[in-house]
Amino acid sequence: MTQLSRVLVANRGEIALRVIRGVQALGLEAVAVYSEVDAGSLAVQAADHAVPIGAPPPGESYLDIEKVIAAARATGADGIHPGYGFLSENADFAQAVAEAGITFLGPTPESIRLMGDKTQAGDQARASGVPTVPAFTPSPEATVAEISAAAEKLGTPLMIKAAAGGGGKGMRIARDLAEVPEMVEAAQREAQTAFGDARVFLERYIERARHVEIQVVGDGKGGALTLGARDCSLQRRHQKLIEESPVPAVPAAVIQDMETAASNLVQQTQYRGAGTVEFILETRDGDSGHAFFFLEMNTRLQVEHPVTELVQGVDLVALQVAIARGESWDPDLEQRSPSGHAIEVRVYAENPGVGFLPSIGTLTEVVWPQGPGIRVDAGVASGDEVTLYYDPLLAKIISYGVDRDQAIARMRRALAETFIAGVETSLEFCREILDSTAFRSSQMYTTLIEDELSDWAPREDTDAWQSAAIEAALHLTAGGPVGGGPPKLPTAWESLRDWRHDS
Amino acid sequence: MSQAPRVEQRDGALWVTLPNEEPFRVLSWRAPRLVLERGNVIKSFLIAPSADGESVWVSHEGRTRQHERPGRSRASGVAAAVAGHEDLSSPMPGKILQVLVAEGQQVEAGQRLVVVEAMKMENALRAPHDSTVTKIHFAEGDTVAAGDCIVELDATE
Repeated sequence: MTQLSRVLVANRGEIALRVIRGVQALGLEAVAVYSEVDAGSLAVQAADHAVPIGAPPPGESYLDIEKVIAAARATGADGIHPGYGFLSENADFAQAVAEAGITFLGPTPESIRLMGDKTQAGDQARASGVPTVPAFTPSPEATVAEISAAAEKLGTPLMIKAAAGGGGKGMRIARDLAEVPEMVEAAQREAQTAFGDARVFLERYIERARHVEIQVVGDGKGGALTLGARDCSLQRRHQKLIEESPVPAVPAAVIQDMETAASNLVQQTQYRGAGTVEFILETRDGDSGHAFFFLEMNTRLQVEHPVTELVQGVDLVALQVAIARGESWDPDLEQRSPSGHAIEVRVYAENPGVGFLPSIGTLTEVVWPQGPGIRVDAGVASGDEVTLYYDPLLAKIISYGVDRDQAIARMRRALAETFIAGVETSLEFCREILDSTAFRSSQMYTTLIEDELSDWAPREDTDAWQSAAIEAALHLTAGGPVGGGPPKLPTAWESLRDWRHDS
Repeated sequence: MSQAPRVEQRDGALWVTLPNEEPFRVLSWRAPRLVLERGNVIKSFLIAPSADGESVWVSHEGRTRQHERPGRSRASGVAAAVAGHEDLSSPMPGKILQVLVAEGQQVEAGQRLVVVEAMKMENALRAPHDSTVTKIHFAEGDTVAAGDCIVELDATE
């Protein structure tokens, strides 16, 4: 068994704190690394040791492989946990950690490379019997007959996309096979003009898609454990907002098939550690037609892992430690079925009323919800500064109940108790999604938010009570906060519309 | 009676009076929890000031709104140290992309003076009032740190 007694967490914010708590609960020590603006963070406060690693920009701190490994050496850490994002799916990092003689709490560099390459990952999935989205690339000399024959095999609706670009250029949707040859020609012309590259490919278009993912753990020797499924369909520009487990309104047999497919992938690649296999699930009218296709595999712990932990009764960080030590999981886990229902709401420092622009400022007050069935994984507390350097995820609020209705009711209560002063957040927007008919009846799909909620704005109504509270607040806080912070973006500044927003 | 809202101490409690409304009583205030009472109905709010003291955040049942403090200058980031003179400084680190005016130039309120790139965003610095540009401390391509004064203006009539 591999020795592991002190784990460096190469991350920040809520996930660093969650991993630190996880390893400490196992009796291990935790080492935090921090950039200049994170010195006072919750994660650093919780750690046993902490090493400064540079200026706030990630490239000068959290993404600097040499600095992270140097920090591990300086503190005698024998393990490194990468969290999610940052270096977690950087094969060179995993390699460097191994070469430094430190245990990496994650997969092998080979697995990271394999699943990080979309083409290779797709090839591996198909080789493991996992279906991928049917696609076809016509050669430039392909005849109309050849294209039509290929299209018929793929089935409709079909998306015709430019190979070279994005942004919707050269993209068309054919609902009828007869439309295909002409659309391909038009798309090729458009692609040539827009990108100088006429190549297009055809792909089955999955309408009203649900994003369903399977939590897996591999022992690195071909052994695989699946720990249920999560639904992450509620997304905005591919950024997940609300997740839940188990997956509502999908037949158990379909989920079972997905778990089998994911398990095959883990076994055949001898995957080591925790990971998630993501699928796109097609839902046609009613519940017939639940075809699913492999999207990608994430070779790390995911943001939404708490919903799995609550319904499966597991600690995924503890499992990662066990695998890293060369141990295996409790065989009991292989038989376990999910119990109850969990929902997670991500709290982003974004302004949904203004195009979800990032919101920055000093958090003069933070109140998190408490009570039965409520778990909060928060990276920030009162007094913390929210900057533009990092991803705007402040925290996750997770509710658990005996069934979906109770989880929803508990989440509504929790959101009503939550208060964040200093930045705009996505909380109210998420509350409206939870109240929506689509969510209540489990009719979510991946473009729901863009289709139906793209022009959402917070309500303007103010009643007498609200006005009175504002007057009282102005009076009672006239002295201002103790030791304020730097001013928010002053009105002399006008942000031009050229936002480049990482999603 | 005055039409303006007022908050006053009376009979050992704090009362909030709005025009044409029965007054509300502050039942309790333990930061950040404020409880108002009227006619045996109580509602609780969570409140906190902003870091710069220019606004308050008020939340009820999870709906949070920010409210400007009336009568305070909205031009934070503008230090009016000397009458009519203003220093416009950068709130965050960035790079000067464009300098649109020259020293000695007369500018109008709202006119763009400088464009700064910070965190993948472009921000234009505007003149708060009709003024003359007295000093420009940076040139195109320069890096600015948070708090650096970029442009000094003297207000004109």
